[in-house]
Amino acid sequence: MKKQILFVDDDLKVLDGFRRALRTMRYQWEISFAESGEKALKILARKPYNVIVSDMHMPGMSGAELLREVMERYPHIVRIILSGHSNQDTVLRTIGPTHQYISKPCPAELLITSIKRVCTIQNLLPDHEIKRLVSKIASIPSHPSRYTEIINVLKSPKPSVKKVGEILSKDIGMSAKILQLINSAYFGLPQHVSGPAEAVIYLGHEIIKKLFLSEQIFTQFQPRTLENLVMASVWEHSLTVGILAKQIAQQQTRDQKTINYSYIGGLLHDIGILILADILPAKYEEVIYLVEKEEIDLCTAEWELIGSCHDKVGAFLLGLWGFPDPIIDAVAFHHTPSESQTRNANSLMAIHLADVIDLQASKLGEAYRFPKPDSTFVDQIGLANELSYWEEVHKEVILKQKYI
Amino acid sequence: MQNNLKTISVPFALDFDEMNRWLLDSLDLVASLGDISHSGRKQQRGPLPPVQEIKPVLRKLLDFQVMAFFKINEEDLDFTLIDCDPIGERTLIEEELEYHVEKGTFAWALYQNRPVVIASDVLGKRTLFHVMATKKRILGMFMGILDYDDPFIPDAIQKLVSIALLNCASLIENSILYDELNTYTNELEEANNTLKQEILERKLLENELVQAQKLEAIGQLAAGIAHEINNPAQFIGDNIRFLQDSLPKILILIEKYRHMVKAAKEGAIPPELGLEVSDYEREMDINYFLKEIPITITQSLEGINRISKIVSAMKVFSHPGGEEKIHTDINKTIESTITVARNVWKYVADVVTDFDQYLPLILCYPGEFNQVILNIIVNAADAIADTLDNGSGTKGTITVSTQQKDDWVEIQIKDTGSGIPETAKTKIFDPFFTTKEVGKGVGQGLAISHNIIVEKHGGMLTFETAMNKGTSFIIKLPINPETQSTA
Repeated sequence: MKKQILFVDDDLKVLDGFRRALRTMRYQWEISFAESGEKALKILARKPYNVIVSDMHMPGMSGAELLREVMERYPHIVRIILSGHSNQDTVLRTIGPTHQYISKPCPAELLITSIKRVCTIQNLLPDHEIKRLVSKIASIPSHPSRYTEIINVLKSPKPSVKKVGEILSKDIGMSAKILQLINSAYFGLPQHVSGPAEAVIYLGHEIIKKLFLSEQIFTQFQPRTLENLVMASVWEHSLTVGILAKQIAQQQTRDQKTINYSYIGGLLHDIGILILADILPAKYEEVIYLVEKEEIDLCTAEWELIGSCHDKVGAFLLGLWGFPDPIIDAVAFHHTPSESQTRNANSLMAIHLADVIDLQASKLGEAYRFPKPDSTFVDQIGLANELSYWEEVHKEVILKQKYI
Repeated sequence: MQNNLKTISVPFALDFDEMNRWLLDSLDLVASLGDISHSGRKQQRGPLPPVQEIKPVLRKLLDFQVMAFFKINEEDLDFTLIDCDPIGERTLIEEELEYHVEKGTFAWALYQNRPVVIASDVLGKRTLFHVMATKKRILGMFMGILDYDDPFIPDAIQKLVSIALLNCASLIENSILYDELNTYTNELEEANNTLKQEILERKLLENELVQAQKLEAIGQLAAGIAHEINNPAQFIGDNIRFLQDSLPKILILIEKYRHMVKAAKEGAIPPELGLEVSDYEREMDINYFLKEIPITITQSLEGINRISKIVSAMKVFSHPGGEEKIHTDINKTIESTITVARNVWKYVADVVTDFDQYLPLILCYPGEFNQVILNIIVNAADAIADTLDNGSGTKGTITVSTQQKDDWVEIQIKDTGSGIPETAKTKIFDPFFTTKEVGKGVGQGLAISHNIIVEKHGGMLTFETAMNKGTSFIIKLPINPETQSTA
């Protein structure tokens, strides 16, 4: 079935340009055009669409207003802003309803790749309620103590962005959001930063302050949600996996991108757990209850009760937010690496290995019944023999973390 | 005529000729006083120069053994000796003075507006006192010790002494006044210099403010200008990609046509060749390309035009300007400012221009003039946006017109916005007055605009407004700024 894409721009020549440049996609996509937000909503009412790409500034309804409306009415549609404006204030005001920001002029190839990617990730989740719920997410709740720490730093007489970066990089949800912002070409910053701490420094004091104090895009988990084993240990586990995956990747490759992706992917690999706990709190309590009482692991319980697993849920959101493919791939398949279609998946390998090693050694592992590395996958890339070596490295990482 | 005045000690013994000559000599002497007063002004200031000048005159009248001049100190009414001739008799004079002060004769002499001759017991000689005073005040005292003991001094001589010393007093008074005037002038000059410096500093500050406001305005525009350039850049890129994708197909088609031409030259086109060509035409959808390519090229050129237009408008708008006014095409410069600000108004209003094509070139600072136009257009757009926020829906209109009215060029910028409320009317040209939300402007725009038009261009900036109907700003610039001034 052809993907349905809607382009919205008040400049008709821009629409003509899209129509011509995307003609090569006519067998995969069916493209519609609207020259205003109002017309776009009329068109969306006629049939289901997969992706909407809208200009930001238009007479009447603005792009942000349109996407907010689309988010409410058709949450499953992927919402992309394609704008020639570079006003940070406007961007900050639209972070909620927007999955991705792309800057004009954007080469047709890049536009095609971005749209193709968000179409592909649609296959990660079944077409039901959960997909709509995840598509509506603007941010993932933070660990309450991390959040308070950051607010305290920002409200202190001499707030240090570096300090904010250090604290923020220990939180999964805030890290993801900051990386989404930095990745959006909107800010005109390098596409690849090595991690959330650098991203915070890049964004700078003013924006960070706005994000936390005036825009208040970050929410927090209720302390009660964190009382069970899974939720209590997921942050620490994620941080360990991030650090260990980075070290594994460093030994495998010199490609800085892969190393960074391994760290970021490691930090965010369990983001799906937080998403599910946030959007389906009661269901997820049941999942955890099931894991604690019955002899089944977390993924199976999730499948049973929710119909999807946290790895796919996390990858789906990161995909919507425009994270690079290797990270999405690594998050989606960190439990089942051999299912990945990607070859030479260094980041996936590093994250899978780091995850398994930490689970075998930590309490959280209980929820997964202490999994073993995917043997076919690990054999394939020749890491099986080094397992004991990495277990030693892991011990060091844990030790270091305790002292920080 | 040397010394011959005093030789006549007994006037009544004179015959007519002698009397006549004496009178003429006296008149000469009085006249010569005018020379003194004339030369005195040019000389060094203070009481001493007039005193030095008067001494030879007095000597002509009477034989003084010693002449002494005292100056009064206005603070404590004390007398100080300022000149004693000959200087060696200073002690003598001081003793004599002390004697007369004690006796009270000095004080008494002070209030006699004539020469007072008193016998001195100390010296056994006679001393002549004469106050040195103008009508306004006492300036000092003259004291002369006469060489002889003849008590009789003819009235005429006495009068001449009085005239000489009055003249001396006037000169001293003059010099005092001159001093005061000088001090006053110096103070004035100093104040003037300080003022000039302050004006200069203020000018610099004002220029800085104008620059800062301009930067702020440009900052507001920058994002919009980027958008105005990025939009055409987007579709030009897309169009070229489309052309690039089309070309191989068209080349294949041309290749097939060539085959056909070749076959035709060789005699006949085999039907299967013709069929192949028409099949390919259908497959590649040649009609689509035939229809689309010309539009693609036209639109791309339009896009390039849009970019060039805004870039050249930016060049005109951001004219750095110099110290000198330059002859400017007002219509063109307004047009570019409208183009540069397009992103500010295009979502809320249409801009209609009604330019007088026969306007003369105007001497002005184009950069600053543009800034004024921009400020007013931004305000107009904001005023219209306010009405749109209130839900009235459709776009407003900003009408910009120029016309010549006698020796003036009038520029009118009219909006269909919310109007200026009564309470704000008197304040809109005040610095730091703003009704915009924090961060949207510092309230310098109109204050600076007013300064630019009125102070720098000798023009006028006024407005008419009606609530919920709109506002017109009217700028009037003199066509010949050198000869015209603000009416």
